[in-house]
Amino acid sequence: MRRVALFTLCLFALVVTACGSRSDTEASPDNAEVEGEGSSGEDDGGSDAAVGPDSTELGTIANPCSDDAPEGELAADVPGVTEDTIRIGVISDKENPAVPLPTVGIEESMKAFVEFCNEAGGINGRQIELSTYDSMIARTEEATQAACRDDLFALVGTGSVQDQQGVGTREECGLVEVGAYSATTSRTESENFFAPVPGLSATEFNSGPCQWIAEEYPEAVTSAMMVYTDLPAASVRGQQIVDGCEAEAGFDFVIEQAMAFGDTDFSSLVQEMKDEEVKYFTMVSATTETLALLEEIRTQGIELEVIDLGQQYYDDTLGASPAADGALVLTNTAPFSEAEENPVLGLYLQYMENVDAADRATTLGVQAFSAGLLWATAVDALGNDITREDLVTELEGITEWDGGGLHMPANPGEGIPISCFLYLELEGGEFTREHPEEDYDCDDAYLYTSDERFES
Amino acid sequence: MPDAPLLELRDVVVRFGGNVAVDRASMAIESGRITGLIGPNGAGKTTAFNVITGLQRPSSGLVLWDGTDISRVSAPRRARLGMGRTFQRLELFGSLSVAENVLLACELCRRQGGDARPPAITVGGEADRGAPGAVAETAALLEHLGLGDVAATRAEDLPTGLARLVELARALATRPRLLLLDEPASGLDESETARFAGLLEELAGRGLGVLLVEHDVPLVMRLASLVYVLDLGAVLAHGTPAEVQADQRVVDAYLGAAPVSEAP
Amino acid sequence: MEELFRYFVVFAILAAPTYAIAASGLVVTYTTTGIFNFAHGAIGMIIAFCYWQITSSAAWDLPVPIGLVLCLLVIAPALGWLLDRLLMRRLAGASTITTIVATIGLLFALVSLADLIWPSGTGVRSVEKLFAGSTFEVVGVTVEYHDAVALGAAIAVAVGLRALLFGTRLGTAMRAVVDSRELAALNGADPNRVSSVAWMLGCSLAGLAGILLAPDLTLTSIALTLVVIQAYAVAMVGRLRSLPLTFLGALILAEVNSLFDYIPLKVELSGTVDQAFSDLGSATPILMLLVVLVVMRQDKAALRPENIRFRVPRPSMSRVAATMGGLIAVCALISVTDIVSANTVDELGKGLALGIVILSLVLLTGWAGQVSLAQLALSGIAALAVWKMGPYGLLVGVVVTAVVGAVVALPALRMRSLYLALTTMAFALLLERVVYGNNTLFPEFLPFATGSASAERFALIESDEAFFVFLAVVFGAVALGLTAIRNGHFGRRLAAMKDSPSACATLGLDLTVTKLQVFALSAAIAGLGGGLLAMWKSSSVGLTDYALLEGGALAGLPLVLVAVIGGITSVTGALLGAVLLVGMPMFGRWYGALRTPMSLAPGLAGIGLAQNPDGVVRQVGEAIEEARARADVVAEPFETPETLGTDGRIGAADASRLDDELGLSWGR
Repeated sequence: MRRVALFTLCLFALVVTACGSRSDTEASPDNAEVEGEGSSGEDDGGSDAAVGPDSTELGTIANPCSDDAPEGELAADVPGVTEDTIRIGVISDKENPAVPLPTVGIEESMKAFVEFCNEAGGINGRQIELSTYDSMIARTEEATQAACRDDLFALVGTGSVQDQQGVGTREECGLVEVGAYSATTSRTESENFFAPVPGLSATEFNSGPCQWIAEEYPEAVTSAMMVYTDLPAASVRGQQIVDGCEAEAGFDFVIEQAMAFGDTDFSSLVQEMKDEEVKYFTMVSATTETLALLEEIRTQGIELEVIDLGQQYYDDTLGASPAADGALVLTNTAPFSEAEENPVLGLYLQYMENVDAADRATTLGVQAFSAGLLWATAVDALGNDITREDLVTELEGITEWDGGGLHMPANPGEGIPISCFLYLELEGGEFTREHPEEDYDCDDAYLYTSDERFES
Repeated sequence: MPDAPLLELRDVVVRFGGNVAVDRASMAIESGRITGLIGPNGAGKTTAFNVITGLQRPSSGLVLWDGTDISRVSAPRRARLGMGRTFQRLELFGSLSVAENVLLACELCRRQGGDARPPAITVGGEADRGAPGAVAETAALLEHLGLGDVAATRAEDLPTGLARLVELARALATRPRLLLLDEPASGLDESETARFAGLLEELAGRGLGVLLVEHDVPLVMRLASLVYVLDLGAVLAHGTPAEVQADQRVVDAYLGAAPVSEAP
Repeated sequence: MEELFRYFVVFAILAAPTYAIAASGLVVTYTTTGIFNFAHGAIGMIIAFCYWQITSSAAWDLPVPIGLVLCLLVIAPALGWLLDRLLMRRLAGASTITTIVATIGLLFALVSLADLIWPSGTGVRSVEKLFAGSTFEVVGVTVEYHDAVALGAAIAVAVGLRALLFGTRLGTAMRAVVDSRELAALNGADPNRVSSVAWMLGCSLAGLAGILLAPDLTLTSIALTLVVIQAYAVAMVGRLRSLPLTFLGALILAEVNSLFDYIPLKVELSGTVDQAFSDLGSATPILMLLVVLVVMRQDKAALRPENIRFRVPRPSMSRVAATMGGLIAVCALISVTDIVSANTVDELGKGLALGIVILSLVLLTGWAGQVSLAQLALSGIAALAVWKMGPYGLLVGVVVTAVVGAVVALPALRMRSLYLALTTMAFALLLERVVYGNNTLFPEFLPFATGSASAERFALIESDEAFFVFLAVVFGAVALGLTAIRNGHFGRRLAAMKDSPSACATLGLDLTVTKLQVFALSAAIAGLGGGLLAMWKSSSVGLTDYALLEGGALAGLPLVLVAVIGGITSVTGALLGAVLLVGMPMFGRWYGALRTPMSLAPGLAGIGLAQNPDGVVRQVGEAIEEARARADVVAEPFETPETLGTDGRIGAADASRLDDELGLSWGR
């Protein structure tokens, strides 16, 4: 029987953006050998150079935070903006005692960003004030209403698993949003929404991962299997993957199965896998459900060539389970194991520690931090012409963005979905780089446009 | 069938699992008379009541009303024929006031066309006899039974004796042709009992058939013109009080235990 | 052929044991104490958490056998003993609504307790399977030892329970207590001891099911609690009485599940049909519960009168009018001034709309004595109408809701409260899974499933301020209307129906029509509330607002709890209930320190009100009344139980007679 559907909805959010690894993994010797370029184009300054509030450059981007006073008159009556301050808000699902959530850590990451930027002197000398809102899984609408009523200039770094809610309210009250990610296409397609790493789209699909898998395992992909939980966000996402991978990479999904959430009885499904001799396995579901199925697969002695957990977030649970050994995982942000070679990632972790939230560094958190930088870059460029309209115009002009090396290059200004990928492999409880050997595998041709719309 | 009794039970059997609660009992109850039904605890008196009123379906046997078989007729429909009853374990509508208990019965009686029958007691002046309002009839019933003072009291707050009178008033409000009373006098004191006896005689005098189950055997013997004795579900004996009291089986089984002092 | 054998024999037999164990625990406690334990799953959940705490390498890391012994033979029985002592014993002979509220309250309390002790944090807890990794093979299916152990445990439970009930004096006494504690006491059994044993046994069985289920599930408080709802359907096959039938029910459920697994995998179907199958497949336990309840004929025990002990106050029209006038005045004041923040007004508005749904419960449960867990789900129908048809869809919605409410009531007409509660619950779950939830059967409702539907308001009262006052006016009008009904003929009829169905029959009152009327009327009121809630929210309307279980934190069940806490017997109680419903979490959000007590509060209050189901308003009122003038103390008539022809002890023959009389079947 399907139970608290929301709980998984949360986890699907992840499908969009790789999320959530704890950053406690030390850089391994393996990684040290890899040239530590945070991202393409970072060739000045050396990879080990630590950056801080006073740096003029943050990896590949200019530091948007400083106390340089801008010229000109401040536009009157701009919500949230004064001569010395600028007020922003972050809405996220905070920790819930009943359910593990991928969005935990977003709020702390925004605090870390604000701490960093204010130490650097604010944006054009304006100190940032941060209001936080807990969307409590099912209260995104209420949190949005509260944010609309407060005197905010923008929403920055937001991330709620039920983000199809509250869209209309935000559009109506005119708040610009630079989110950490979007969990649904309703959010992606909403007005004045920007994300540092646009991922989800109703029509565009990044087929890069599929194509690489097809190249590496040409046999396996002809007997592929897709399982997704029978809930709106997951099934739409699963169907989109099936559609894209079959069209672009020659996959043949011999099993495409929707599974009731909380269904604990996998025996018939596993039997079917045996009969169909499945070689490639991918699943869109909560980590725990995926693990339970993987364990059953292992018990039943099925030899899989590829376990592709796609955009599943990689977390301790996944790492700890032998059933998931050898599984492939996608990530949008730089692996935490490469923090030493990636100065901006190091900066992020440093400031997470400064706000006493070192244990909450997650990839969604990294994206929130990047959202902060993205927003700050736009505001910095505005000088004293800070209005919401100008902010939108400025953000629309930022078509190349990698958060200074925090994540893969992306086009937030035009909201074009990413056409890069990075596969990690789970080996003995550790996530290690699988492909490419450095940076990200990028190609505009990876983007596949479907005739169908996959809306969530 | 002009001669058919108001109500007749013919060879009624009720089984609960392996137990026989009523064993081929036959009885006849006539209009205008008080019929007594006595027997020890567990003799099946209340079950017989339930069979008559339709709360319990007999395993076999017939229930006849004016000579017509009503064995398959539901309890509410039987009530609409003109059967009113009280319960041994009080079944008042506890959350309603005394007046509301009676008023509801009056209202239901009217909605079901029961007001074609005459009221159980005289209501108001002769002028509006036959068509008094439900409220007026309620007031008259309460007055008649001496319940005027407690009309506004919640029924669940009444002492047992008064509660039994309210049940009687409620049953009378349905303008019954047959009144079934299950232990109506228990909980009444001596003077209340005397008034109650007078009331029953008055009702019988107005042509009602009354079936009276009562532990107070002397009371039954005094009021009833015909008495049935149940034991282990079967009719042990029946006849006039004198006949019954003379019956050796009855004396052995039941009466012997309770000395009958006031028998006529 | 071998394939069919695999699906319908091997897989089914492997799936059935946990259902059977969970359900037999429910049956044991229900038959011996007459209490249907909605918290059965929550108890299993707590025990599973204890087991994790003891055995997990992330916690104390003690050996598995120690964990099993401690959990099943020490902790679970201790919990059972405690529950019996503190709660269940007091519920003996209570009305069904009271036991429902108390055990739902317990469910809440246990879930909050587990969240308190074992907060989810960012990680996930997992429980190892027994003999993890060890397997053997049967007809090409690799079977885990864990599943084999579960099967063995189920057989042991079956044999053990039978031996206990038929081979021991305690068991005989347990069967006797069902009928009447007093009766059993007269016959020498100690009903308290029997009840203790039953709860200890019930908790151990719940714990066993929890531990067996936990490895397949995320170890979160709610997931484990709710999975046991599957057991309701299984236990109902045995009418909550027969253990052999319960085990049969477990097999049936497993077979049905296998069927729903088999067809989409093996039979070529078009995409939508396939999807529809899988959607229905996810609702099999609910469908089964509904089917069993509807098909099952009324059993004899149902004819025993319900013991509903609410003291329903007599509402005075003028007093209610004054209160509602006050409410409207306060709301008007709030809406024209800034004394209350807009965010709070949002919540208050929701409270008013949900308050109307609670009012429907006052009518249905408080006054008519009928239990329904489907009111909120029903109210969603009107929300759908408002979303699809605009503000005037509200009228259509109300009418449709009334009709659906009456249809739901149809099979329930002759049911006693517990079955009614379960039927309405199953119906509510079905609505939220199959109609409101993600579904290929109703793809046009998808925005509703994801909570992104919207609702327009009437043009005249479009502003938040105006609509807020409008909500108060509607609440007041419904409250007044209900009061008028309560004081009129229909109200008297309802009270009569609640107080004594058999007396109703002897007054010629056919309850069928009255029941249908009250269900329809109450559903219509709920629909009004639901539609208004949608309009008040205006955007982001959807499933989570109208769901019984889905929605973050068990959304709809608190409505019932809170309604009862406020007082289900009066319209003012409903108002208080509404205030509490939105107020308690609001306080929790405002004051971090209050978050825990506020999340525990509904559960504890539900338990606490077990003995006084009249609610707060009534109790306060009564206390004042009593202080003013001590009413005459009226002694309750002492009812002597009818004696059985026994020699003072219940022997095997008597027990079997009793069983027959009560329609019990222990599988002789």
